[in-house]
Amino acid sequence: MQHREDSQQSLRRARIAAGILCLLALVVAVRLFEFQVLRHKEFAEAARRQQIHRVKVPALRGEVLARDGYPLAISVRTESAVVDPQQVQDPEFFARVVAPIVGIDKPEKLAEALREKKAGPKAGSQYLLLAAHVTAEQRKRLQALGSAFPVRFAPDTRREYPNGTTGAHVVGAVDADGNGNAGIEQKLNEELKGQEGKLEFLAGARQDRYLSWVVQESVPGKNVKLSIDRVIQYDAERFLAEGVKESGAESGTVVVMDPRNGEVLALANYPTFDPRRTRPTPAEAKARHSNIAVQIPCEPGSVMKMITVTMGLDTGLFRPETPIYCENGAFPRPGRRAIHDVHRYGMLDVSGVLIKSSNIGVAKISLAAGPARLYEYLKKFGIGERTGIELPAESRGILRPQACRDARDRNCWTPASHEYIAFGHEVSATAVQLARAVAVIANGGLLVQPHLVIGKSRPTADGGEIPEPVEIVPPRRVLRPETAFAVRRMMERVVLEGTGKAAAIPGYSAGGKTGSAEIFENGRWLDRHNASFIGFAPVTNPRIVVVVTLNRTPKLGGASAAPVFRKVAETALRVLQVPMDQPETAPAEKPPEEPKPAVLLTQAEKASEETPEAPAPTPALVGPRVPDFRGRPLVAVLREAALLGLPVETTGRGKARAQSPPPGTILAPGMRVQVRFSVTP
Amino acid sequence: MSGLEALLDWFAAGKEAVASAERREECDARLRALPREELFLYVKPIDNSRVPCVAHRRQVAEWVATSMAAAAGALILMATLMVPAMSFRMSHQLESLKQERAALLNELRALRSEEAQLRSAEKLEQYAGERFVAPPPGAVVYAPPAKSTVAALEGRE
Repeated sequence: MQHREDSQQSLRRARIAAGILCLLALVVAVRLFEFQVLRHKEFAEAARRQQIHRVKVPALRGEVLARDGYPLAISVRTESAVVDPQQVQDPEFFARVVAPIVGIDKPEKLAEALREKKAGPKAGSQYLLLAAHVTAEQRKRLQALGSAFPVRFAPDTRREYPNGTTGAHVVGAVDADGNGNAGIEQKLNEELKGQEGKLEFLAGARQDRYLSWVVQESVPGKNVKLSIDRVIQYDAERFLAEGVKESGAESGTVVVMDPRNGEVLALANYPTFDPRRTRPTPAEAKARHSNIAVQIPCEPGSVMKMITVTMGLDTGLFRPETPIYCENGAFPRPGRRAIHDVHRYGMLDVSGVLIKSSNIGVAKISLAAGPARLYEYLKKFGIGERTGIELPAESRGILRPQACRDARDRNCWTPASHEYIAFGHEVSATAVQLARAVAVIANGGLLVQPHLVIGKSRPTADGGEIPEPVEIVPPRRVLRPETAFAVRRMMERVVLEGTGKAAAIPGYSAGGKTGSAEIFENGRWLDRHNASFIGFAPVTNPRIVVVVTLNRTPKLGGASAAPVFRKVAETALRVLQVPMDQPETAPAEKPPEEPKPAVLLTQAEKASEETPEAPAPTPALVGPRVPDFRGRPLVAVLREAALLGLPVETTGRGKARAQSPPPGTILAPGMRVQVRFSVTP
Repeated sequence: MSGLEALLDWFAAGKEAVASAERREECDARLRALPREELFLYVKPIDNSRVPCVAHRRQVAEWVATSMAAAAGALILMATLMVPAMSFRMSHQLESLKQERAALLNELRALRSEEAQLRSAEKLEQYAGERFVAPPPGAVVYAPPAKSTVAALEGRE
């Protein structure tokens, strides 16, 4: 009986135990169901996150090339040495061995960094950069250390600027993340940086990578070819630095441009910076972000007279020989500030006004034309509008609207504005805007778009390139060519006999205009100027336009900026292999024939309209004979002269009425054919 | 003496008895008595020189078919394995070539950078300043005679 009871109790206990076990199994099954079925996605994703890691593969940044094809900025793939601090057993020993190889002066600093990442505030970090861009020798030595030193090599890229500081403000620089932060690097960052790729790798429990695959290939950035000439750029920077130091200026800029198509051959600023420095000094950082030539407008001063005089001629209100009374140096304006000249001039013709840089003369031209016309011509020359050059943060300058919206509008021209704007006050322009304006005169009346990019291409995997189109705004005619030629001639006289004598280039004819805008600051005029010189060379067929601006210099433009122009233009013409049009040894001081006053011109006309006798050619001279241009329109004259390679100067408009030297003459070196045009015979 | 011999024999018999007992313990089979057997050998010469050999044509055909099938199977197997093997090999080769090309292109970029640096205006000016002297204005610079001129003069001597 007792035995039976015992066995029944054992059976009950066994059933209870089995029930508990079943219950536990059920709980486990439920949890499994929850993990495996209900929350499958979540856990699968968590496992994936833990096991599969995705890293971005940076695309190779595109190259920035000079016009000769040499790189101004180029990226090279390198490797960086990194270490997982968690795998370093003895930081001190590791640092003592590795630091000399990777070029770390103080091993204790490396040991400290390792300790910090192992057990310090940054504990848990699995990445410590030992050295960026290791050399092949360093790599070999680090690899030879073996598994006791868990050093890895991560792919990296290095941006190189082989020309150093040359063209720094044009090319720009990149930040630590590889994004452009100045110049073309910033402006065309999206095109240059390409599209980064994606790489996935499978990692174990210790995060050891043992399998990797490319998810998305990286697409390299576009290569960009610039119009910059490395030699002209280098010399422009050198001469600008010299000019700034000699003139006691604080900063300065030089722009060299091809007036025919707007290609910028050089763009230099002072102070400059070194794009290779990853940690620039505060001064360099400031220079890096201030591209004076495109970002900082300043009052152009007398260089604006070029536009005023052009307006006077192009509207037909004035002719180069039209006399203007210059009030003997002081032009009182009732209810306004009087206008003064530096020197006292009485009667000057329009050419004389530009040559002597008379404020009163140009103010009278502006008064005669009226504010609307002046505003129209300023717009025609691109003042107050962005040029569209491919550089960041371009300023549009300052040109207030001429017409006021209402009586309370203060942001518009006053009744006296056009008098002051005529000689470069109440208006601001950047050096690039001035270069575009002077290019209008140099190229015969076309407004071009200054630009740096002349080619783009996408590199292919096999090392080839696929060219891509570059959009350039075509030139737009804004002036009659005769006006441009007449102003060109006047500007040449500025260099020969006016304020810009220091800009004369040996062997070449040059035209230009000086400018010295006094600085008004904190309610008073400072004894400092924004000195400038705008010019072109050679006069007959200008190949370059050069703008020099020196800021806050005690000297005037003719003494400070003009010499810089001469040096830069001389280099540029030599590099571009422009044939000389003047005797090299003795710079021409005076043109062979200058326009005469109206009465004298009439006499000269009469004299020249008689059939001149062709002088017997000098046996020593060889070359084409001067054709008979008389009776032909301007275009025909220019075309034939270009075909024969004869330098021609033109004055007036209509048909050719007189020429010098007469037909049949062989030109001596440095001489030019002067052709006078008029509508009436 | 006979007593000693008898004693020795007695000792020997005792040893033998112990050894046999041990042997018996080791393996009983050795002590099993063999049955009595008798062998009878009978030799008769046989002449089979005129026995004709029967040709097993079917067997040969089967053997050939088997061989052919085996060869075909081997070929199919090889062909089947060849494609992925070749593909694997070629892709490996391709990847190696790609990597080599990438490395060479990178080297080319580095060399282009170095060339640009060496041919930069700054370097050229530095080089010119170190190696060349600008003659003063008006100075007459005599260029060295050409190699052919030197050779001609030497020949005359």
